Amino acid sequence: MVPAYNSGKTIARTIESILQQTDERYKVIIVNDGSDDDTEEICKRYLQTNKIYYIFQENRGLGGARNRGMELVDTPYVSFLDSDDWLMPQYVEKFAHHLERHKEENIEMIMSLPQIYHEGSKVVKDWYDKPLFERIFPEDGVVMNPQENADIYRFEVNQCRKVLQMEFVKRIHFRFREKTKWEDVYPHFYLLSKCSACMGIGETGFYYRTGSDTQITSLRGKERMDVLVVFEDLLRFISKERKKELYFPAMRVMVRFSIWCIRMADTDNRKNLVNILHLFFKRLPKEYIAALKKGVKECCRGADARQYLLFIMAIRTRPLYFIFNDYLWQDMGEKTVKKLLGAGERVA
Amino acid sequence: MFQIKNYLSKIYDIKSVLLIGRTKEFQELASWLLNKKGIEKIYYYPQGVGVICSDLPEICTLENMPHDHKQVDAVIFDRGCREAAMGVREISPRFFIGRLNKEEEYFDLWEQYRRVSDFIYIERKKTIPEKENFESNIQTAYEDNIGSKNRGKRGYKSDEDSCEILEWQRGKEDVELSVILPVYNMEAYLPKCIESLLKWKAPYVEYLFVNDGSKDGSADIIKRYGKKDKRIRFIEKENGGCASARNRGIEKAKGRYLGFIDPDDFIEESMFYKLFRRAMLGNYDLAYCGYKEYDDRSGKARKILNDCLGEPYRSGTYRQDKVQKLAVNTRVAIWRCIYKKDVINHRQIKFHEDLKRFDDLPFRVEYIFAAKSAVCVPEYLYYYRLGRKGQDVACSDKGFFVHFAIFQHLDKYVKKCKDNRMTDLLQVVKIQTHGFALSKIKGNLKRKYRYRAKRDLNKNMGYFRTLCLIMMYTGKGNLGWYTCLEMWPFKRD
Repeated sequence: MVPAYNSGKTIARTIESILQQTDERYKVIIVNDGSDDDTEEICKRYLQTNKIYYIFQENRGLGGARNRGMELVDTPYVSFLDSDDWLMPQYVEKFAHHLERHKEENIEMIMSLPQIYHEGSKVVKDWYDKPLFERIFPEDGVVMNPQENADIYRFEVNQCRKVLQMEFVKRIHFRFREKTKWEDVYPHFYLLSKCSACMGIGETGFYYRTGSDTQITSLRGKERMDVLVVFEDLLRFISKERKKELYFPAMRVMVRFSIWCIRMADTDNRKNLVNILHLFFKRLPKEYIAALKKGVKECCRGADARQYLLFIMAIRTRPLYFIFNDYLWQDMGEKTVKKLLGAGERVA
Repeated sequence: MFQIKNYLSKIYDIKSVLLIGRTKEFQELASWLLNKKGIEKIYYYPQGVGVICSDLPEICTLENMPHDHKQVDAVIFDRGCREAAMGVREISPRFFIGRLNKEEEYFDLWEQYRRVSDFIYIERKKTIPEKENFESNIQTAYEDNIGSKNRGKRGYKSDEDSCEILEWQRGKEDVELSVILPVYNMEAYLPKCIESLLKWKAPYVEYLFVNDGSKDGSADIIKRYGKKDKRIRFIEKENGGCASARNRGIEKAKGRYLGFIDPDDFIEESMFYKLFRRAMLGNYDLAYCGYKEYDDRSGKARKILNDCLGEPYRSGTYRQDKVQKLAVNTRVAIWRCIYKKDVINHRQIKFHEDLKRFDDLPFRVEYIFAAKSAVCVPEYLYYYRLGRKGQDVACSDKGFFVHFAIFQHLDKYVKKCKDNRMTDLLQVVKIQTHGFALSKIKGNLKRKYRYRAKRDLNKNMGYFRTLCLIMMYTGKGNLGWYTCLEMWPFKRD
């Protein structure tokens, strides 16, 4: 399923790459999310092939488009593709092959390992959490139960790497939150906590683009504030679930997202964002912070661990959190901390 | 290999492929290709290799290859097969794809195949210097940085990870690089400049001479050279200043990359070759080299040192904060760089025509702030002529007041970007420029300049922040005069 918003330039390549699949057992649903460019024309060109369905809707955001698309899915599994990504020709074949081998196990979700394509240099890199992935799924087609191994929550949150079983989606009444950005953080935890059989398939030939101007990840304005809505959702969910092992992955995601959002936010919004995040993190119960500290000690290496701990300390302390208001103070703070610790590694 | 596979997965209309290579990986590629839709035939170039894969029906060796070479759509070659790849040019494939070892020359492959192929993709292994390794760990946003995650402490660096890619597609025009020269009464210096340009014989370059209403014989000289060399294009326009001539040049340029040269200077013949060659591999937005100052009277050339020719720029960087630092750390010298035209068009960067002098400063700062990647060629290839009559730098004191107009433009630009980092870097540029001007200006004008400089510096930020910036970027040399400037209660004359 491909949600498309103003992607006239890239959608043709995406569709072509899907049509090139070696396995024929697929359908494409394109949801045009109220684009005002030539996306529609380009999609219409492909409609002769009976594999493609096309619908138009008023702008409801990425989450809305995905929800609409999910209503129309009639295949047993659904995967999500962005309108500027593309696939290797073996993508469907690989999934189909592994699904057939594990037919009787009723697989509810499939995790895969995308590859990163950098727009500027055109280089393809490994996905960020490849070592973790290889530890949990030592080979393609291994099935595991997320309830038994909490490590799986630590994967990079990204909806595009997950393939969902439609039956499973309907059973748990899963929907994306609409009209917010970063809608895939909360589903990551929600889906994993409900899922009982998850299969891992390594490199499937899915490309994730970085380094282009049009992407959601490069937004710098007000949209950044949406992270708070996402965080609130996540928090409500964890406190309801009352699972201790969830605390650390959730906290880690929140800390990483905050660090990154603060860094990306532009001058007008940065102060506001930092203030909100300060209040948010300050309000967090002690057990979460303790869980983060404990988890960091166990799972993260030097530089990362230091970054998380320093961030959580600084953002919660009243006179210290001002450091994040401006990159300059942050840089100078970093330098000082580095000098004190005597290490040439990354800090918050 | 997955780099090549990735490229191949974007191609839909190839039927037959010629593979040149012996490694195991390459044979896997053959079976991978057979799975791809539309591929009918695969040929192997070194004989005997095909035997190993003989269970695949469509594979044949060069002996039973059909004589009609036009049937091969794509050539794919492996590391260490450069010579063989060079040898099959008469096949003229539409796609030319391959990978090279470290230090292997890629540019002549591109030069040869750009005539016959529509798409060229060459990948070369890259050596990552130790120092950058260390630096790239600092200040990384977690998703937007290439490499930094994969290289440093986090381990899992594989050989495949570090490579640079030349990806080329035939454009509408047959021109890759346009060099723009604004000409205004340059009779005496033109021949030397033109001759140094023309020594590089590449056909994909164009030299745009924009005659800004010269009153002397410059136009005739250019026309004379233009008859001998088809690459010279001559554009006539009424006098409107250097900036307007350059703007006209940008409008008319056909190339993917642009270079600007002052016609009173001259270059080492290999300059544009080396810059263009470097920028192509890795698709860099900005490539630059060092330059020498050439004294017109004594005829001696002096290298300009401390000009950011080291790491990480030497091996190329895609990190925007590093690129932006170039605005502060390098000298104003737009003529020793080549720029991507896409970036200029996309951000609508222009020379400001209302500035009578130093119009290159805002252009350079704006471009560097917009660029996403940069690379340098650590050689001194441009000769900057000093001491000729009527030159910009040998100017009167009054001329320095144009700085304020320049910074007005830049302030506007930076405000639009809403980035603190840019505002700060601009402040540092201001400090440097004003410091330079103040050291040159004498007499009564100095007081006036001081007054305006103080107002200009206080426009965006206060004293304390500027102090921090000076400490971070420029060293302590500027602290003294800046503090005096801030403390002294200047009055408007």
